[in-house]
Amino acid sequence: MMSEGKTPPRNLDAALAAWPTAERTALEWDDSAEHVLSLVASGDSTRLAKASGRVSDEDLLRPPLPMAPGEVQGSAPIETRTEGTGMTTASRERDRAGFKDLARMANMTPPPSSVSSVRSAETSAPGGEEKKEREENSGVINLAALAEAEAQEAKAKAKAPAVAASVAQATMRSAGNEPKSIAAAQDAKREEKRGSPWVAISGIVAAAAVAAGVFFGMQHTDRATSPATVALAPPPPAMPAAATTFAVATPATGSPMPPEDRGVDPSSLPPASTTGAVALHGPAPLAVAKPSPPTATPTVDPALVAAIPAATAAPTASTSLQAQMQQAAGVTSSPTATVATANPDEALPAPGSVPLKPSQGAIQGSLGAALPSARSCLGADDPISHATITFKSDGTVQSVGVSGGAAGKPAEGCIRAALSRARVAPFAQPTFTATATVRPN
Amino acid sequence: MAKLTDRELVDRAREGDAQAFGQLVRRHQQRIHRLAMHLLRDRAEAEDVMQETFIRAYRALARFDGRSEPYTWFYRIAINLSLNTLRSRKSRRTTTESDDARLDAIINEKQTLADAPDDAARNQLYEALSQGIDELSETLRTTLVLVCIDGRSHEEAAAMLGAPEGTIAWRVHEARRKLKEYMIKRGFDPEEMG
Repeated sequence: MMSEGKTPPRNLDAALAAWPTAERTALEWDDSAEHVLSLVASGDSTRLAKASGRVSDEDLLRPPLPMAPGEVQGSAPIETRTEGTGMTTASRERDRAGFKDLARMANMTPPPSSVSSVRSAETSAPGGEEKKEREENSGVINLAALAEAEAQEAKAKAKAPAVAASVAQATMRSAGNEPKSIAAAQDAKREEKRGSPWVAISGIVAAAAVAAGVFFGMQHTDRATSPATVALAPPPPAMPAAATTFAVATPATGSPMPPEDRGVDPSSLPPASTTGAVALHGPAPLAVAKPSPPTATPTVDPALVAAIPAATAAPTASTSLQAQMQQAAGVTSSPTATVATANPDEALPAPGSVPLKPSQGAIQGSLGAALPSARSCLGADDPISHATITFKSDGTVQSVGVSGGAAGKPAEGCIRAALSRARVAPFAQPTFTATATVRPN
Repeated sequence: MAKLTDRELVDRAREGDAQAFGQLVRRHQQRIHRLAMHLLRDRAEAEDVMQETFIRAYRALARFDGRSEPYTWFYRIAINLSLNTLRSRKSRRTTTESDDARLDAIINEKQTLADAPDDAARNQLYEALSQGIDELSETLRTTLVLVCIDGRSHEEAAAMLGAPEGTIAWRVHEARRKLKEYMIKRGFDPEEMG
């Protein structure tokens, strides 16, 4: 055909284009064509089909060599070939969409993990269920509820009367008088223990005077900032992370104090078991007290706290930060408290703690573990099959679809069973679908 | 039968006209066989791939959507079959120079025209080219065979291989560059290889 030229081609392209081909006569080609037609008519398999097994039509009609990574990309669209659990163009598109979703989610206010792990036990307002749902989904941390839950838990653990000295300490610290007041309180305690009532009384008076000074200082700060007074007590080192508690002091209904004059309510504050405290005055800078060992926990006699002027004692009812924020913004809402109890057994994973979908590595690892048994379902001469595995959000396999050579054969059920054993970590999407090619061993 | 286009023959074959399909086979079998021989370097396997290509194409006629030319379809099947055959035999055996089907024509000529000095140079050239092509990756080799040896356009090769034309052009460029380097290392004139 191209062997007419006997002189060596002048360059590479000419040499390649003029590659000599062994000639066949027209009769030989005709015989070859007739042989093909006879095979077509009889339905017999060729030697190739017998030797290598029947390859599915899908595999044969796929683009043989689509663009590989690192190759120069043209402008035309490309088709990609699915090999194993490799990513296809479609899955890349899905990933892009996934990243967009992630970006959108990042811009949204994420629901705090502490809220999802806390179940409301009761709501005192009418239409409680609706309110509860709204509060849980509002993205606002119900500090009072969390503090209440913490307090209840601590009370159950330690039945001895506890006073929130740490809170008082934090409150005083926020006003810049912490060393003096704490020292006075501790002195009073020590003197009381020694049985010296005069010293104790003078200490109490001194502490009350300091507390009064602190209170008026706080009031001044309150007017300048926000009415909300929040005391945050970080957990002791031995406590679980979820034990971080918040307490919000709110005025009681009918309180003579105006809303902006709220103070700290000891009853709504974390118990003495919390070893450190943070006092937060609205948007004022957060003062964080480092947790100290339980043995060093300062304790204050309840009488000492009670001696704080009435103006500093907050009303008894507590309400959520959301309600306070609404009040501050002028939104009418009933000053009810939502009491929440933390139940670790019922704690659910935070929505943000699971990935949107399983990672490619997880899918490959999972299917990689299941594929050997799926391959063993095929005989050595069986053609390649394709499996579509749909995972549920809990990581288990919801369904397995099998196409290709094994479809409709007993091997299909075997492959289905083998791949159904795949597991991935839970993810946020309702389902996630992966594909795998099942080749015979 | 009057000269019909490939599409018309496919339409007729779909309706059960075996002669129409026979016409398609006769029209394209030589090139399919040649392509398979360059990809497989084995006469018997190339023959098998050529036969299997048409058998599978006939059985899948209903799936031919007409968006591309029928010969593109045949080529795609033939390339897939050849690559499958190559991959399955990889661990079994390797082709030696003496039974390289690509050099059949040259070896036959060698027996009859052994004295011609030009033929000796030509034989050396094609032996070296065969070895240089074997050094290329599967992707570069297949693209080079389609474009530079079989004479398919970049557009046709893109349709057959499922890659953009730009990628085909890059592959051809890369294959030529590597082949040229190989030939120069083997002592061929760089200007002739340019």
